Amino acid sequence: MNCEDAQKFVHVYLDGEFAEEDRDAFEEHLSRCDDCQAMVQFEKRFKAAIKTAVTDPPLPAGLEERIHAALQGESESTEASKWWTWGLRLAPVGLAAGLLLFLAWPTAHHRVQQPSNMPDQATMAAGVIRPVPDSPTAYHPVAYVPSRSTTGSGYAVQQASFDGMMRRPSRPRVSVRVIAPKRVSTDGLMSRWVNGRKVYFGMQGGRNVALFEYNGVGYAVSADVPQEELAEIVRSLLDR
Amino acid sequence: MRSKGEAKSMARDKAHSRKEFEGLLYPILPSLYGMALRLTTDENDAQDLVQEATLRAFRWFHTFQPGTNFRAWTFRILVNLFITNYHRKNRRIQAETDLEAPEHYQRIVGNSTWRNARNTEDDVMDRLTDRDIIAALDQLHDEFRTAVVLSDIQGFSYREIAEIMDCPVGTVMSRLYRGRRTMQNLLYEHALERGIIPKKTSTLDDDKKKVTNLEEFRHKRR
Repeated sequence: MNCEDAQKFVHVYLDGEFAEEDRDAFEEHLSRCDDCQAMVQFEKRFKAAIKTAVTDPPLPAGLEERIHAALQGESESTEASKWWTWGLRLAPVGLAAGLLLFLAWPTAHHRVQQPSNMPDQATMAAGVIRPVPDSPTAYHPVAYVPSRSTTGSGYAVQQASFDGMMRRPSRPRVSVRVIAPKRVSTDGLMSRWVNGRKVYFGMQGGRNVALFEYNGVGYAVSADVPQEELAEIVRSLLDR
Repeated sequence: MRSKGEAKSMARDKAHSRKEFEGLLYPILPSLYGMALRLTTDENDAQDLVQEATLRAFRWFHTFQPGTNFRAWTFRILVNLFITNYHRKNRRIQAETDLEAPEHYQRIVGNSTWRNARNTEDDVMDRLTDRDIIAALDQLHDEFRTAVVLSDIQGFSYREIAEIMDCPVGTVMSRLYRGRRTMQNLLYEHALERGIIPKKTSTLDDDKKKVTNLEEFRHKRR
């Protein structure tokens, strides 16, 4: 080993990652090179200085409690999701499809038109409504809720997701999703009464989202339209 | 359809696994938060990151093999989440790309001011505050900062860091090398600016000589 190698591998030596024979060779070089010895001393001090400078900060107040509550909510809602998966996987199909057809119906107010590539109801039942696999990549927040909220996970995992997409050249996308209402934390979200029903409004990915429950099924309606207009869409949905 | 009894026992399993998960989680929570804070450099972001990471870890707890390193496993989830959600490349400066450039090394730890007289070296190290060191660390590019924090602060082995950062051990070594060197350079610049190291000293001339000699030496070796 020469000085160049010693400089290159000084961290490996200090981090204790050398194999025994390499370490011996390194130390053998140190024993006859004052410069490298001083360099090792410097690096050792530097490493220690980092460790001393950065100690783990105290846990912020309430973090552990929030995590505990979130985990509790998570394990309960996972239980709940089982019956969602089994009992309600198909139940919302009709409803959601109905909502979609309604949304697709041209109305004077919204001028939402049925696109030519609109799937028929059978196709939707077969393919569009699908359980989201339980993996992190399929972990879609339905509504933006600060994740430090005190209840629930702050996010909803869709057990059945359903995007009714109605596109027109100048028309924003309106999507209706079926969600498990218990999984959505509505803390901090603005709510208002629409047709005698409490509807929560939030943001997700820059789009306004309205959350409401209807016959025990949760719905998230989102569109990139102003909140007022979204409320109108929800109102007309609930009118039916 | 599941029977009621089955559902109940599943609920019990779930509650049991949550208790087990929490039993493993809380002892490492401070270091998890410390890591998140150094990664995000913001207290609110760090709290969000820890909370999201723990939830994700809990969702995937069934894939965790009992008896293996839970701390490394959780850190891996946290670091991955940070990379996907919080990565802000442009905020960090890149570590020195030229690893072989001897001048930085010589300038700091070669036959230079920092080392020439033992007293001076001690002095400079002592006069650098913890805040200086943290500031230098926070300026590192995410990949280098992550590696340095995992090694120097969290005390993980190269192998564990490789698993956490999902890269080969050789990459860990080079990230650590570059990260620490960059920190030293930043601190050296800082020390010069603050006058901790005098700007013009005779040793700098020695330094230049040394570098030249090293180049000559390399030239001869070729």
